[in-house]
Amino acid sequence: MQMTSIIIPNYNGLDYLKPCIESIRKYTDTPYEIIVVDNGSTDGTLEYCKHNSVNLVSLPFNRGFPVACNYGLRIASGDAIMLLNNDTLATRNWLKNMLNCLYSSNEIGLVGPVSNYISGKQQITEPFTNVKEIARKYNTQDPSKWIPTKRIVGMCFLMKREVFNRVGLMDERFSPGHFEDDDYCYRARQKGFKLMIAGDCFVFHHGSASFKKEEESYVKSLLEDNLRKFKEKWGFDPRLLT
Amino acid sequence: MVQRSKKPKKRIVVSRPLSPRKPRRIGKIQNHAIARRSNKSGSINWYAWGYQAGLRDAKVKSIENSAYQKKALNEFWLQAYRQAPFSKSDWNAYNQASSGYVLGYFNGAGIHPQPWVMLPTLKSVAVVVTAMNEEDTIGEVLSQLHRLPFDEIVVVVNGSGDSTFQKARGKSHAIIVHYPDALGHDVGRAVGAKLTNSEILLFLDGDFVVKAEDLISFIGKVDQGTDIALNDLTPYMGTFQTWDSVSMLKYFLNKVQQRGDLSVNSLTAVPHAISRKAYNIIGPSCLAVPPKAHAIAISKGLVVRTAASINVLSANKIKEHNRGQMNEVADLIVGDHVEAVKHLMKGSKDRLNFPDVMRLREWAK
Repeated sequence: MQMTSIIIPNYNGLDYLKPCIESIRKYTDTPYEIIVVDNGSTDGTLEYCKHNSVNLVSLPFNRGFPVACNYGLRIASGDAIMLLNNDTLATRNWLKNMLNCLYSSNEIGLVGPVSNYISGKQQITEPFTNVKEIARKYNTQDPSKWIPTKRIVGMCFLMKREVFNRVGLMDERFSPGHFEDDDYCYRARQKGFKLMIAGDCFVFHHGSASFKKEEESYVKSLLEDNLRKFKEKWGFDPRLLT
Repeated sequence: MVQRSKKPKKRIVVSRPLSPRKPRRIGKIQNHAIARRSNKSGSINWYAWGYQAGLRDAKVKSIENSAYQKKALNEFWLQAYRQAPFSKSDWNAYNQASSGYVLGYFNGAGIHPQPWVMLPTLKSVAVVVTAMNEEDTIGEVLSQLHRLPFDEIVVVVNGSGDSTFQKARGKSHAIIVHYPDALGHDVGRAVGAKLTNSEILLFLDGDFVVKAEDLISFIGKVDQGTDIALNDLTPYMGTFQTWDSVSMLKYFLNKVQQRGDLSVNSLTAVPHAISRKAYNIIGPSCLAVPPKAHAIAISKGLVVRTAASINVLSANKIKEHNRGQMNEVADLIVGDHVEAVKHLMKGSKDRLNFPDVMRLREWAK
């Protein structure tokens, strides 16, 4: 039976992390391990992980999203590996449905869900009511809802171990975050892997918890910097792919 | 008659370097030449040589603007070490010279001396410490590690019910893994190793404090080409008839691979250091079964040698009082050796290196 490693980077996000982990524990019925990679939180995250039997990699200070992901990727032992934002909630059948899509073909390497707050084709168009209702609507296995795509958002990013073995780690030049998922998707596609949006899996997302706390201008300049880095690396604008 | 004018014997009086615990007063250096202790062996005072080199370097090289000052000083030390007038395999001389250098540098630069220990290599070095319920010792273990400019420190706390994790987190900038389940030292080491990037990997247990100076030869040997640098336990073993079954198996596994010279030494004991090359060849899942990893290392032609001799057996003896537990652990290690031999037999004849020349089997068919 395949085991999925769920890697959750976290920085002072205990208020989101706790319900996220509880939802994973409630709704996941396939074998999994949760690995929280903590970026030096001081909000009680470490104590929470210790008292709730959560596998934890504790970094001494905030090293950003790609670095944290990479520690998680290195230590993960699952056959499938997922990167998950801490400000998300799992839903009934979520992982089963995504795994079903992931393993439906040898060519598929990366799968992402649909969500209420996400960029590109993964955004649901209908108005969001509440998690349970939308999940009930979406989360029945239905391959006709699967959409091929050129990009999966890093908020919930499920890949086969084979992809990690061949594509490698996240590019840490994109620290503290943004466009490292675009970069990874492009590298995966270059290796011949196909990317799919599992339209029959809804995952709830609060939205930009990590960066909401920062000033708007800081986030704006970060986006600009990383966009420039991406263009310098690959020679095209990644936003054209969404 | 020729009268020889007697030159007064030049003496250099130098005290031992500052220990991490209490500061001591430092004697004065009388002259700038290398001192010769007038004893029978005629050994040179390497500490004084290092002190002079550090003093000189302090006038021309600065660590003040560096983000990682310990590492910056280490780079200066390595330049001086290249011209060291002692053998690169003399680790006693190395430790004396490097501690002299550190103190000489601090004194020369007018900085309050720190008990830093210099690494014998420019290569990146990671240390992996496994710990279960080690709140009493983990602080001191980390204190010793902090004296060295490691590139990575990974502490793997597993199955812990005490404050090992909090103690480690509060004291160190290490990457600390916390797994709720007990993994055991072996799996803990493999898990910790997975997180590292460095060229040299050093492994320790969190329940035994090893002084920073005692770790140097492990790292130095790997830097110089050894792939697996082991702890030499033979001085602490009695005669063969007093050995326990696990020790006998360790010796057997070595002998079977024509490495009887290693005696009972293997990857089952810490401290040990391995090269990144060895890690890539063995892989984390085999590293989690030390006798198997040991057997693979030898069979793949990796360079396996002993480095230093640190008595970790005394720590284990404390646990021997609980005989039931020891039997389980012993059985585990015996099983590991069975796994190792089985692995060897896959690539070899049924009897490995033990020929069957005298038996005329055909007559018994």
